[in-house]
Amino acid sequence: MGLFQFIVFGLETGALIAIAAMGFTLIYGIVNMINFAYGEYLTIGAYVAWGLIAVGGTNIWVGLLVATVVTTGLGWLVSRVFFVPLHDQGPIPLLLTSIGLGFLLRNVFAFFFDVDRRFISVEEAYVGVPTVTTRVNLPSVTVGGVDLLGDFFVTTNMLVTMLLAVGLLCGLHLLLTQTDLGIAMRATASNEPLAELSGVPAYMIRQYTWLIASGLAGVGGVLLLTRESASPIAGFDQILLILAAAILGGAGSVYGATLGAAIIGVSRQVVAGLGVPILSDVPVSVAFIILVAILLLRPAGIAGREVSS
Amino acid sequence: MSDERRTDGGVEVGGKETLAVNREGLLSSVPGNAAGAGVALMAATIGFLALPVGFALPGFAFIVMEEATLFVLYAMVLLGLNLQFGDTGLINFGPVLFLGLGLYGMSLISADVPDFAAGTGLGLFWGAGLVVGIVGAIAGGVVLGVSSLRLRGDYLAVTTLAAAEILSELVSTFRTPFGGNRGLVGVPQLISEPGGDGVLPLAETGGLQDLATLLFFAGILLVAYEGFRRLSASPYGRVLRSIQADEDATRGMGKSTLRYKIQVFIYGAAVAGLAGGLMGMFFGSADPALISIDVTVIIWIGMMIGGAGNHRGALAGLAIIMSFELVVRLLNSLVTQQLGLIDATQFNALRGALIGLLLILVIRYRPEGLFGDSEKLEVFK
Repeated sequence: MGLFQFIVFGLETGALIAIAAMGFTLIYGIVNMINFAYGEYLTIGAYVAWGLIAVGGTNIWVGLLVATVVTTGLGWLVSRVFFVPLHDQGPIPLLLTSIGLGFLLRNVFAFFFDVDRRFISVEEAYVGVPTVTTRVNLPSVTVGGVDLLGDFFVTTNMLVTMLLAVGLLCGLHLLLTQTDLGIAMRATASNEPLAELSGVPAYMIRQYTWLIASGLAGVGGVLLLTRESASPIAGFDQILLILAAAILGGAGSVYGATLGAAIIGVSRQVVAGLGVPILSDVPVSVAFIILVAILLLRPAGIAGREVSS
Repeated sequence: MSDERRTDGGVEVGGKETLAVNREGLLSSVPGNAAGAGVALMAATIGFLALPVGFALPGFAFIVMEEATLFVLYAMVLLGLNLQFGDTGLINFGPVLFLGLGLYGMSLISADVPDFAAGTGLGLFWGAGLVVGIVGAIAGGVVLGVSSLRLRGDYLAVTTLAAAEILSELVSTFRTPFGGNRGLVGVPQLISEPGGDGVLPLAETGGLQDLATLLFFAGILLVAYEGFRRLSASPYGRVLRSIQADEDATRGMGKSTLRYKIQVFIYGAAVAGLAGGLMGMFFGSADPALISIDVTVIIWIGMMIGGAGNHRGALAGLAIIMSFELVVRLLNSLVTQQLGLIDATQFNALRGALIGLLLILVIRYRPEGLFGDSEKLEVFK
């Protein structure tokens, strides 16, 4: 396989991370917390979708819709119980609570669903849409043993993931720029006391932020199920990549987070596919190295927000 | 502890000061010089070993002693963590990283791995392994400290947590040299049965191996406790607390706060590395389950329950949470096998869920802990 194929793989990985990173970064910007339990929100979505598709026998579209709605509700409820009462206490108690919550939720999943990985049959779930694998033939341009172009293929599932990411980014863009809610969210993120003085109900804005972020996690969780599986640690395995994407993009910026996710997804697949195969065995380590490199070289990220003290 | 409080430089006045002294008075009956007691305990253990006594202990006693030994080892990690968080206000959420570096440093250097087992060890002198483990942990502390300590508090927490996850992933992924999920066996033990290859063989066969190891480690803990207690009580500790209270002001007083923070990271790494090496010498093996994120969470909960910034209180908090772990372990076979209520996976999940919930509850309702002082914990304001 050539370089082009790994770029396609990377964009798909990046699209999944991007959807989650958008939600993560909204919480970071508006609630001002690093939510280390955000991966577990994705796991909720993955389990709900698994229940609907594998057990309930629905197709993927119903699964996606219902799982997103259910995860929005459950995610909001969890946030309401555990995080909202601590909103005024600053980032540290919120972060520590999220670490405790992640621990709690992973064990709750393991209690009810065992530690086994749960799969769905993607072919059967795509009712009405042919799960075609499109092959594109490109000439090989080999330089130094690496094919820089080469044939590649795209599956329906990969296309759906990528289109959803682009669609959600466009939707968020419209929300943040065209609606009163979005403008109030941006105002709260940039200067909360000033926003409150101007009549923005910051408390309500945070509630909406939790709803939106939970919904994004629901979509991400369903895609995680179609790409991999649902298991107690399915979302936790993604959290460092999500975090790295959000920080690379400049915490708080949904556009930056999307770009950061694309960069991380592509670089990860290309490096693992062409350069050093051993790196695909240690995804957390790769994500961590990217994260630390970003924090050290450009702590403000692409969109510019300072994280050093 | 009340003496220590008075050397604080007392900006507190009137009733508040009295209150703090009274609360610490609850725990101040423990003898003043713990280091002396620790050395005496170690000497007594060695003397005791030579005696030709041996008696069989009941089965559950081994579980009790294993948990007690883990308490002692985690307590060493906690001393460093408390200096970092309780005094200086640094959020190190990866103390298990340094425990792991000590454990695997010790094991890679000193383990005599049998041919059939996974992984590689050099089989060298145990002391070399212990030193390499501690030096490795210190090196890890320097690298992580220099690179991450400039970051804001919550990012420091994330990088340290991630660094601990990375070590866990590396050792469980690579069978060479770390032995993968099965870990490394054949690490020299501190105390072994007669004729064994431990550092100190017992004179008589019996169930005393674990007990003697526990007592010896407890002696080391007492010495470490005294060291850290004095460090916190000294003018050096006062600088650390002023970094937590107002770092800019401390820098304005001419103190290089970054240097202090890195030093604190190194002290914590060194004592955790020692605990890791000793952990290898207790189990005679190293495996990834010993350095999972659970350990970090348990040590943090212990510190939060007891009260960050107060070494004795934090140790008491750790004792509480480890007692909970012990009770859970003793109940395990009763609930999962004899009564058959839930299976072992569910039981373990229930235990984990309770621990996560406990961390959340302590942070929300009592962040200063049972014996701590909320005035000193700036990060929760």
